[in-house]
Order: sequence, then structure tokens, then C-alpha cells
Amino acid sequence: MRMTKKQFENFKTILLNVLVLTSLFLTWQIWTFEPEYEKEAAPTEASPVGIQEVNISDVVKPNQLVYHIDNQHFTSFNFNAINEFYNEFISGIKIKSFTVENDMEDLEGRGDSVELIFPTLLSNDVLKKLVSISKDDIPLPTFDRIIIPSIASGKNNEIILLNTSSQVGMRATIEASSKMKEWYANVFSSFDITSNEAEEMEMARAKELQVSDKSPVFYLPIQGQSIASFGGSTDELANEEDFKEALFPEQDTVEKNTFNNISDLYTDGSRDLTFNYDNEYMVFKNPPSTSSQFDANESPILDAYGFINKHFGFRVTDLNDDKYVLSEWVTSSQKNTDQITFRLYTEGYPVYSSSTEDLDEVNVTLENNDVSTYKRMLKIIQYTKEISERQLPGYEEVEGLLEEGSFKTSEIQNMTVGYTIDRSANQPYDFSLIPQWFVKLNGTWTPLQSTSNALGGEEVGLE
Amino acid sequence: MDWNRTKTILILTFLVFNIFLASDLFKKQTELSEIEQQKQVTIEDQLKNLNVTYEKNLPVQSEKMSFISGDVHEFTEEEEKTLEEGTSQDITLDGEKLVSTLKKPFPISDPKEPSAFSIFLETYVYEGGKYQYYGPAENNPNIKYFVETFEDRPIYSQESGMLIVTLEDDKVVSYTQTYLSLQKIGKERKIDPASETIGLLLNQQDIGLNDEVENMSIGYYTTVANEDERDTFVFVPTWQVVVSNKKNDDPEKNYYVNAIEKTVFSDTEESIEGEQEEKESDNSDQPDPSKPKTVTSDE
Repeated sequence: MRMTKKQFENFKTILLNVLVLTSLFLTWQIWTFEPEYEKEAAPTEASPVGIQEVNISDVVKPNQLVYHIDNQHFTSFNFNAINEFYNEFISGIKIKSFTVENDMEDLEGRGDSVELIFPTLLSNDVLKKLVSISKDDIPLPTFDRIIIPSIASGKNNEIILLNTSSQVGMRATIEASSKMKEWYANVFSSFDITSNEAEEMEMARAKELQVSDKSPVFYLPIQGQSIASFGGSTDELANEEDFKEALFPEQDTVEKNTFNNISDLYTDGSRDLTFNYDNEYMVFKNPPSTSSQFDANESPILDAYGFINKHFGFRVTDLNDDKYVLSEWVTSSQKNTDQITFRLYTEGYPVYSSSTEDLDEVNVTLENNDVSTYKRMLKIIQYTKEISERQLPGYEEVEGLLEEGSFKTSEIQNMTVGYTIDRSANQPYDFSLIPQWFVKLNGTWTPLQSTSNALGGEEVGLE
Repeated sequence: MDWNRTKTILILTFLVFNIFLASDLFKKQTELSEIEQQKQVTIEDQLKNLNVTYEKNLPVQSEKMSFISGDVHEFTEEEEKTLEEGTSQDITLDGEKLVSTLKKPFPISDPKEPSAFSIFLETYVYEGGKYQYYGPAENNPNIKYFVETFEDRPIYSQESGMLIVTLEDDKVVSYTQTYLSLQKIGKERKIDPASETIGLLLNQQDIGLNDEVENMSIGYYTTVANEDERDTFVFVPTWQVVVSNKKNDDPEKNYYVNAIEKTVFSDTEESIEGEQEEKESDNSDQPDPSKPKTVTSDE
């Protein structure tokens, strides 16, 4: 049977339609082919939450500043005083080269200089992020003090980096900015402890304290300083939902458990996020792979810093200067874990609490180069109000307290002035901040208390 | 305008265009499978070099799976009644745990054969068809573990979805059951194929010289649910890879490889059993399934 012309034309129309549809289909297939392949390969990144990200130099800070002038020492523990010099220093120098120095005595005879004492050891990858360094290998892996001898107008200036716990050090040749040189020429050289400026910085005449040959040298104010106590109240930091969104890579696989209205637990089968309503505390657990290849973490401090920056951050509010600053770094070589603690600084000093779940710390544990736990309180300081002044013990009293203490003085790693959070019920505030001496023993900061006077100081102010 | 002629021209144009598109798509697809094949070849080479025994022809194609959530099921008295009336068994409910003693022990033709239990499961056990044979208790071959499944895929190492059956003289005398109501959550996700999972274990040196990959299966697993008594679990699509090494006399190792995030968790056979025993003995108020007599004396 022969096709009529009309039938043939109809057939052509159908064929054309089929071809057009096929071409559309094929185009769509090609279009979607590659993106899908790419998409499956890239894991989704959690969205950051928080107020704002901060620089590493806002988080890694010294806790004590010491001026060494004509064999005299002047020191300040006040955060704001330390900050001023520290910020100038890290932006004003360029490190050109390093040399290891094994003779500690050689490093200590340094003449007029400024010393920065950090609350914990720092790794050299942190140093690379803090200051500009033109060399990649840094011979000393960790350090906790930096000494900057008076910078002259010449070219070859040096700074000294020390690791006081293992008694090693290195020299670094630096290039200093003209601003730094000016500061040394004008401000440092004519420093006067009786000036208003020194008082503002809470600078005090200090004396060396070295409890044993192997111990680091501490500089303690000869006269006890008078520091304000504060009363304050807290406010909630954020709602759970924000944290949940930040900490779980995919929201559609997260389920919630509620335990008797005391706590909520979110899980996606690989990680848990617990909110405890009793004390407004948050714990995030993310068990790392347990494989036979279990390596030490490569850059724990930087990783912890990066993680917190993306997950609610260090700046607790925009309104005041309260912030969390690196305070402890504890490595367990047995378990290949690193525990990093960032401590709350308020009213110029670090804050410590006797409770393990309090405002004072943000804790991050790293395992297998990944964050395995993240803990913090979901509260911020809403306001603080000065309630009294407290006279802290001076050099001799501190020395006495150290003798009295139930620890070996040779184990002291660091000393500082800070605040204890007092949450006793008989006060009109949520909590109060009491200034006190703290010593760092075995990686933990402990208040230095007298057996006769619980807080090791005396009240001088008026309520 | 001659529409008939235009149609002919258009047909020819589209024909050429379609041939071009089809060939392009074909080329892309072969390239992709070549990459997969190459990956496969290198993994196979590595396995061969290390003298690793494994099942040949590991699947390279990946499929899609969902996460699942599991709510702990609290057995109701009604369910208890239905089971007791339909079959002759004495049931004790203890919150989320169901403990049953069969009035008439149920004979199992060949207790070593998992399929021999299917009639028992279907008849006597609540949602029994959803449980899959896992293995005998290490210290007692008369105690058999069954794990809950979702769409025939097992939930590994999870006490809240488990059936523990006690046999005496090849007859089921009692069992203890926990049950999770499972459902899919979230969108379906592409999971890593078996070949990539083996590649990952090779890379991490979890599979090494003279090892034998005894078994590999896809199921569900959670890495965070062992410390508290939660009511809702989330399970992630996970490969279980059982590796042994006859030459070294090492205990058999279980690896759980997250098929989405590629994290690897391991435990040895011993420690799983150890944990179960430990946890069970903690619950002193509950009958220990490894001691069937205790169950009977409970009546």
C-alpha cells in the first residue's frame, strides 16, 4: 500500500516533533551530567553563625607584660595595657631568620627590653600567623615568652623566643617598623613608674621570683595592687536552632530527644549536640574515625581557633570588650588529642571558675585533626558593676602563700592575676568577680589561697 | 513559504544535531565509567599486591539511600495480649524490653542455618520478619543474636533493635526483644560504592598484607548512641567490612565505614560481645539472656 502525500507529510510532522523532543531531552542530559558529578564529590560546608569573626591576634595574647629597664622590672597584668604594646609589636616587626640558642643564661642577659609572657605554650604555626616571617622553618617548635630588646635605629635587631618549660630558646633577626623604633626611643627610654600613664596601665614595680633553677623567672609586683571587684548578671547567648544549624552539616537528618525538660539532645547518627537547661551549657560531640592510622593533630591551636570562629565565635557581644582568649593547650601524646581552652577576659583580667561548666571557658578537643568535642556556656555577661576594691597580696605575701600551698613550687608554670567567679547565693548579683592570684600547675590554673584568708587578699573598698 | 520543504530541512538539521548530542553524551558516560574502572583496577592491583583475599568484582556503581530514624518502641499490653493469645508464650514487659518464654519450646531444624528460624520469627515475634540473623553469642552457641533491619538492611551493633533467642536442645525456649520504629528521614543520598570503601580502608592501612575481607554488607550504624538512654536514634548508611588475618592469628575486625562521610570506626568481634555481656549484666533487674534458667525462674 502506498502512502498518500498527506500521510507522508503527517509522518514528517510527527518525526520532526519527536526529533525536537529528543534534542531537548539530550540537551538536558548533557546539561545536568557534569554538575551532578561535581556536586556529589564536594561535601557541604556548615554555615557559620555568630557575631563576627576575629583575627588570630585577638585570640592569642600574652597575660603579662614586663619592662626591664636598668636592671629594674615593671609589670602589668592588665589586658588593655598588654594589648596596646602587643598589637604594636606584632604588626611592627618582620622576622628574617632564626638561630637556636641552647645557653639560657646567654639569653637572659639581655639589658633593657620588653618581655611578653603567654598563658600557655604556642606552636610555631601560630607564630607564622601572628607576625610576618620570611623563613619557613622555625627551629623551636613551641615557645611561651617573647623578649624584645630595646630596638635601636640600626638594622640588625633581634628578639628572643623562649620555651620556659623545656628551657630552650631561639633568637630571631627582625626588621622593625619606624613606629616601633620611635616607641622605644621616645616612650620606653623615658618610662617613669610614677607617671599617670604607668598608673593607667596598672604598671607596678616588680621583683624576680625563681623558685628553683629549672623554673621560669616570674615577675611579681612588690606592692600588692588594688583591683576592683565586680558584680554582674548574665544573659542568654543564642537559641539552640542557631547552634544546630552551624554544627550539623545537613539539617534534614537531625532528630531531637528531650530528657525530662532538663536537656535536649540533637543527633544525626554521627554527632551529638546536647543543651543542658540547668546551667545553660552546650556540649557538642563528634567522634573521630577510629582507624589504625591515628596521627597527632597538625595545628591544633589554629584548628580550634578556626572552628570557634565559625561556630559562635570569640566576641561574645558587640557592646563591650569581653572576649575569649587562648589560655591552655594540653596535648596527650598517648591518645593523640589536644585540648584547647579559651578563657573569658573581662574588665582587663582573665576569669576562672571552680565549676567545670561555667562562663569562664570555651573548650575544644581535637582528635585525628578534627574537632571531637566543643563545650561552652550559652550565656554572656550582660553587665558588670564595680562593687569594691580589693588589695591583692604583694611579693612577699605571695611568696609566703606559695610556701603554704599544697603543691611543689617547682611545678609552677605560670602566675597571673585574674578573677574568680563567685556564685554564692547571698549576693544581689548573679555572680561576682573577685580579683585573686592564680598559679598554673600541670596545665591547670589554681587560685592561690591562704589557709587563713580564703581569697588571699583584703577588702579595702566600700560596698 | 513551502512548509513541506522546510519540514524536511528541519528534520535533517535536528537529526544531525541529535546525533551530535547523543555522541557527546555517550563520550561523557564512557569517560566517567573509565575513571571508575581505573579506580577499580588500581584498587584491585593494590589488593593483589598485598595478597588480600576478597570477593571479586566489587560493585563500582553507587546507589542512593536515606538516613533513618528509630524511635524506641514501648510494647503495649495490647500487643502483649495479641502475641500471648495467638501463640502460646508467657510475656513480661519491662518498658522497652519484651521478655518471652515459650510454653511449648519451638523446634529449629538446623540452628546453624539462619533461614531455619524464619517460621519462628514470623509466628512468635512481634514484627519478627524484620529481624535478621547476626550470629551466636561468643561464649554460648545456644544464644543467637538477631538484629532489626530496615528494608532488609541491618542496624549494626544496636541494642535497642535486637532479638536475643535462647535455645535448648535445638528448640527455642525464650527470647528477649527490643524494637525500634524506623523510618526514612531527609532526602536520599548517593552512597559510596563497595569498591571505594575498600579503597578507603586500604589507604588507611586498615586492610594490609595477607588480610581476608570476609564479608561486606551495607546497613545502618550510629557512632554516638552508647552513653545515654535516648528514645530517638539516627542511623547512617554504613558499610560493615569484616576483615581477618589467618596468618597473624589476629582477632576478626569489624570496620564500620560511613557510606556518606567516609569516616571509619572499628571494633574487634571480641569487644562487641564483651560490651553486650557487660551491659546486660549491668541490668541486674532484667533477666540475662545468656542464662535461660534465670528467665524461667522469673515466672
